[in-house]
This record gives sequence, C-alpha cells and structure tokens, in this order.
Amino acid sequence: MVYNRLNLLRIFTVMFLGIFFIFLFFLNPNNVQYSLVKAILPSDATENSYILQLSEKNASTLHVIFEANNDNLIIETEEKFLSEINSDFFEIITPDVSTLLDYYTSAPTNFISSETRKKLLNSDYNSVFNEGMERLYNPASIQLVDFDKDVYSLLYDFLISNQLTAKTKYINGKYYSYKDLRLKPTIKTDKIKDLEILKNKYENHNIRIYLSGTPVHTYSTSSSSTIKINFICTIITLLIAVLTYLYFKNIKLLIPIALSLAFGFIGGVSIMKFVFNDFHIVTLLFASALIGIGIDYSLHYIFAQEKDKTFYKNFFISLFSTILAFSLLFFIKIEILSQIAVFTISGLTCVCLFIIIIYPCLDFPDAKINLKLKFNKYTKLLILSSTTVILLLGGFKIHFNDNLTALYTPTDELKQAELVYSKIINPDNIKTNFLTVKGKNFEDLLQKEEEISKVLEEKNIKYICISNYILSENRQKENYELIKKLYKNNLSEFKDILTSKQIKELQNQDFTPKTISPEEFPYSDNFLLSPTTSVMIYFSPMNVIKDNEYISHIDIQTTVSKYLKEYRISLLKILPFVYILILFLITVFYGIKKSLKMLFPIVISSALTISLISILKSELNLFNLIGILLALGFTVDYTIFSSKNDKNTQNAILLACITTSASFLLLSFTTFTLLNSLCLTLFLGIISAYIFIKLSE
Amino acid sequence: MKIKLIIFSFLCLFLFAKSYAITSENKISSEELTKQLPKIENIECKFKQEKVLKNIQKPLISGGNFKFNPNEGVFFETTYPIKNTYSYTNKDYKQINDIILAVSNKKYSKLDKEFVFFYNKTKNGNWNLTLKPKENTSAKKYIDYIDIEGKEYIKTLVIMTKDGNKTTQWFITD
Repeated sequence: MVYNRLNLLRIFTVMFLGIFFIFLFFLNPNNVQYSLVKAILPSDATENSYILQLSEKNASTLHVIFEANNDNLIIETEEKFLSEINSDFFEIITPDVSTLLDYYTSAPTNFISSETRKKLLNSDYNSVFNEGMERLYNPASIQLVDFDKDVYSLLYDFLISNQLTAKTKYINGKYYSYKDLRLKPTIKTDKIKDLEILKNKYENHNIRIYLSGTPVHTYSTSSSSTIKINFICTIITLLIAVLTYLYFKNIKLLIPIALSLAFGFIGGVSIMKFVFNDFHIVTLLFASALIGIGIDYSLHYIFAQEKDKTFYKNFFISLFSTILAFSLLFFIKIEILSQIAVFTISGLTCVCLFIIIIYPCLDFPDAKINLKLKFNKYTKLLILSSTTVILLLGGFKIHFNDNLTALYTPTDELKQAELVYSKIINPDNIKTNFLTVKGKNFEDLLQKEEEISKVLEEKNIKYICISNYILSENRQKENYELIKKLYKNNLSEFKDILTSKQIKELQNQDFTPKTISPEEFPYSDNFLLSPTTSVMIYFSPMNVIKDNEYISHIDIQTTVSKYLKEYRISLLKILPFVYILILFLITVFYGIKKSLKMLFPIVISSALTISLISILKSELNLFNLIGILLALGFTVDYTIFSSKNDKNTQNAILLACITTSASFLLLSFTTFTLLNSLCLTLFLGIISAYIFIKLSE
Repeated sequence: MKIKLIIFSFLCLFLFAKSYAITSENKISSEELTKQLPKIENIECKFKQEKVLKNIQKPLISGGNFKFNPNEGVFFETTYPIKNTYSYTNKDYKQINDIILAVSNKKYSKLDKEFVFFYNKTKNGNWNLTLKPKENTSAKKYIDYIDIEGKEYIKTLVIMTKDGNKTTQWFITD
C-alpha cells in the first residue's frame, strides 16, 4: 500500500463513514421481532388492528402445564414451581377466585349462574330451593358470606359454574393443571430460560411439565437462530478462507475482504435500524447471507487484471441490477421483505463503496490457479435432457400453499406442548372462534357480551369472556330482581331456620350494584384489547354469531393467509415485467441480441428452479417466488461479467457462485419455512443459472 | 371490689397459662401422631350433623348413613331433613377426601403442610386430635380449627370456620 495524500483521504473517508454508521447503530435501541403475523400484515389497514393487538397480547402470554396420574402431585409441584418464578419477569394471570372474592361477596345476590338464572326466569323456585338446601346441608360446604345474606348459596353456585374453583382437570386418565403467565413489559423472551430450568428441576417420570405459547416459540427460535447465524458465518468464513488460499496462496487477502464485508454489514444494519423501529429475526438471519453476496464484488475486483472502463461498467451494472431486483421487494408490502431489501441494498452499496474507495490503495496478487468448468457434449446432453424432464414433470405439479401455518414448523416438543394445552382448554377439539366486541363504554361492552352469551348458551356452546367474571350493572340488577322474586315466593320455606324479621329484611333489601372498572379487575389484559373492546372465545364448528358494527370475528390464520395469497398473485403478475425491465437495462449497454443471449439462461434456470422445487417439496409459496426474483438479481451479475470472457473473470464468477450459493444452502436448513423456501430457491436458482450460463458459452 | 378484681385477673391469668401450657404440651408432630392413632378401615354407620351458622338462632340438624371406604372415598347419605347423598371421592371434593384418607390411613405428613396438630389421650382410651391451619396456608383463610375425637373409630368431627360457623358430626356405631 502506498501512503500518499489520496490514499489517506480514502482511508479517512471510510473511517468517517464507519464511525457514522456505528453512531447510527447505537442511536436507536430497537427490538427484534419474532411475530410472523406482525411482519406480514400491513399495519395501516384498520381491519387488521384487532388482529395485530391480539397478536401483540399473545406475544407475551405463555402457559405452564402440569400433567400427572396423581393430582396431589400436580398441586404440590405447581405450588413449588410458581413460588420459584421471578416476579420481576413474570406475572401469573390465570384468574384466581380468591382475588375476586371481595368483589363478589360484597353483593352476593347480584351474581347467579346462567343455569340458576334460567330456572328463576321460568319461576322454577322449587328447583332452586332444593339445590340451595343441598348446598346448605353439605357437610363440606363453607359459607362464602353469612347465611342470611345468601340463603340459597347462589354465589357458590356462580363460582362453580364458571369453574373458578377447580384446581385440576381430569382428562383421559390423567390430571392436568395450567397457569397462564405474562412476560412483564420490557422483559425479553430469553427469561424463558429460567422457566426451562424450573421445568427440568421438577419434571420426572411421575409428572410432566410443558411450556407453551408464543414467547416460548420465540425463545426457541431465537436461541436456535443465534446458533445458526454463528454457524453459518463461521462456515462461510472458513470456505472463503480456504478458497482464497487455494487461488492466491495468500491468507492476507482475507483482511480487506473481511473489512469490506464488516463495513457493508455495519452500514446495512445501521441504516435498517434507522429506517425501521423494530426488525425481524428473519431479516437478521438473511443478513448472514451478505457474506456470500458481498464477497462477489471483492472477488471481481481482486481477479480483474485491468480496472478499466469496461470493468467499472460491469461492476456498477451488476450492483445496480441486484439493487433493482431487491428494490422490487418494496412493492410486496411485507415488512420483513422491506427490511431485507433495505439491509441488502444499503449493505451491498457499502461493500462496493469500500471496494471503490479502499481497494485501489492495495496491491492484490494474481491468481495462482485457474479452475475452469467445462462441459463435454455428453454432459451437456445430460443436463439438457434432465432439464427438459424436470420442466415437464415439475411444470404440471406446480401448486401453491398460501397458508400461514406452512411458514413455521415448531419443534416436536413445542408441538406436543400446544396439543396438551389445546386438550385442556378445548377437550372436545371443537373449532375455536375469536370474536371482538366493541362497546361505547365498559358497561355497554359487558351488556353486549351478555347478549352474545345468551345466544351461545341457548345453543349449548362453551365460551370464555370477561363477562364470565364481571357482570354488567344491568345484569346485576336483573339478577337482583330475580332473587327478589325468589325471596318473595320461596323464602318462607326457610321459616324454620330464619326468623320472620330476617325473612322480611331479605325480601325488602335494596339493590346495590357492584361495579369494577377494567383497571381494577386484575385480569383485564386476558380479555380486553382496550377498555371498550374485548375478545370472546367460543367453541363451535361454525360461526354462530353474526358480525355487525360492534361484533366481528377474527381469524388470524385465514387473514394472514389471505394476504400471503394476494402478495403471491401480485408477484406472479410482476415477475414477467421484471425480466423485461432487466432485459431493457442490459440492452441499453449491450444491444438486444447480446442481451437476449445473456438473459436466456437465467430465464431457463428460473423455470427449472420452480419445477425442481415443485417436485421436491410439492407446494410452493410466496417466498419461493421472491427467491426467483432475487436469484435474477444475483445471476444477472454472472452473465454480465461473463461477457468479458477472460480466465480471471471466469474464476471470479465461479468463486462468487460457490460462496453465494453456499450461504443460501446453509440458510435453507433453518426451521423458518419462510427463510428456507427463500434460500433453497436462491441456492437452486444461482447454481442452475451458472450452469446454463456456462452451457451457453 | 378492687381485691376481687385482682383475684379474678390472677385466676384468668392462671387459667390462661394452664391452657397455654396444656396446648403447648399437646402439640405433636406428624411422626409421633402416626404412633398414637389407630388406622381406620372401612366404616358404615349412622351419622348426625349439626350446623350452627352465624346470625341463625336454630342449628341445622341433619342425619343419615355414613360410609367410608379407603378405595372409594367418603359418602354421607343424608336421610333427613332432605334426601341427598354427598360423596367425597377422588373426583368430587377431592381435598376433603384427601384429609379424611390421610387421617384414616395415618399419613399425616400430607396434612403437615397445612396444619399444626394437637393431640390428647384420656385414661379410658379416647383420643382428641385438633388441626389448626398454619399461617399463610389456603386453609387459614377459611378454617379456624378442626377437632376430631375417637377411640377405635372417629366419633365426632367438628369444623369451626373463621366466620363463626360450626359444623359438628357424630358417627354412631352400634
């Protein structure tokens, strides 16, 4: 390296930019997002706001489930487990009747079960009296309030009916108990590790403990992603080191290559962090592919003998075509893809900036070997005939799956945990329906829920909602009126137990509504999206409640899948125009005949990739199509540089192809179906494009 | 007058100290209790129940047939004043069943977590076991004490709750 003013200026420029990027990096503390729902749904659409709110709520709610043959063991283990949970990180949100007793016992005649309500509405006082007497003479019964305040023990009946007293459930020969926990705000999901430690401590052959819920999936994904990112970066780095040494017999070349990639990475991440409030784990995973993508430019520069006009023309056209391909991701309106686009565009630009500014200061050795890939006529025939067969077979098998569930595959342990939880909440395995209910105020909201509950009860449909626990003032007044009628018509049956004065006082008591605000109710967050909007869950094979301006069903899976389908169809329509646009771009520089010859192998490789994936995986998704789009952006580089048919350029292209495709091949093994679809397509697209470019020479 | 008051105070103090001494002396661990009490097998007998509820002048009297089987659970077949069968088994009222099973099978360690035991034996062989809920237990919120008296079998069971309600059950064997 020659130390002159120009070189020093170059170095200072890069250092200044580097410091600026680092400043930008630490300027904005961002959060890593794991929710696919949030990443796919456009947040500006108002109909999605409930789904996003519900998804946000689910993101911090998890379940600890205990399973054993002996329910004493469950109760004991659960107590020990919960006592060791760090309350700075987690709060228990499963409704506990003892925290609500003050609310109920202060006005016991306001709370009656729906079964008792039905009987009272039908004036079936004898039945209510008989049940009251059974509860009264029960040797094990405990009065929740003084007998003369709740003669028929209707409050106890109300609590039993809401299963607010059951500690365990007995299902198919085993006992189960569960507790819902919530991660406190600002606490990260890595605290789930503490729960895993407790789980391992208390689990044995007599009792099983499961952890389920979104934060558990997030934690599992993030831990495995961190390992994978480190693994991929290590393997790619080793591969680059080996190949660089093989070609140049000089390991010091790794230094400028590594610096260019580091500069590109910091620039890419800083700009992405600056643009987006939060970024998704999938973006971070994809970011590790920058190593493979960014190195292409270093290799083209290092291998090029002459850095003349032609070289720079090819250099910038290839960068520009890649940027063009990635910038089309902005049209698909999925935030993950926008983040990937911003990161890759800015990262690659920074890599190229580093190369253009710094590399001219450096002296690079010549390549010591020349690896040439050549196909004899038999190999060519084999490739062409295989391609034809694959195109024909795969072409007829093309089938798209736009379902959200196809984008993420949980581990077996997590799948089992979710199944167990589902078994407890919904033992009959009936379809779970989510309903949002909007009221003018909290009282109105409760009343609307009570109307819906009435419909569900008539159809014997089980449901869960806040009005199971808090009754509207209106309902409380109705209950009080029913109790008053019961007392008027039936209380005299207790004449042997109550004095006439007591009977008269009870018959003449005043109604006292017992209100509780959403802020006072300790479990509001379980049910409320806002003080006037709640979520009801009911179990029915079909929707039995009609949507209107206050009530709407939400189905996260169907809604997100619908968007995925829309995006996929939009992309299918855009893709042909992308090829035309690229053709137009390279025609400007190379003429129509040469441009067609350059683009044809890439078109074939795109078709081959789609057919091959159809055969291998049988179902394609949006992210396979996005992979085709991005592969186009990468492989146009190869075809552009290939136009300069010298050995160094060919070596650079081969090396670039190996490193880039290796990055994507490694990423295609992640558990995120979204990412492995994208990266498998990129891997196959890049390799096949390279082969066809070679065949066309 | 003043002297009478002082004497009365001393008497109260003496009685209090004596009862405290007796109570403290009668406190027993679950391991020692296992040695003292007999194991109770199947029982079928009559029972009578009296519930004294706060603010209610008359006690609620009921009675009927009682059955205990360690494998099945506890059954109160009430025949008067109403007809109903109350069962405390592994499925229904499990915790009640657990307490009764624990006492009859002499597995007091299970009750150790919730209760402190006080035991007393008289010369004619009758024994008295009082269970008082420990602090910070769920039983403490509702139960004041449980008193059990017996000889070869449980004769009486008294449950006193915090709100002043008292349930007494007598088990009458022929």
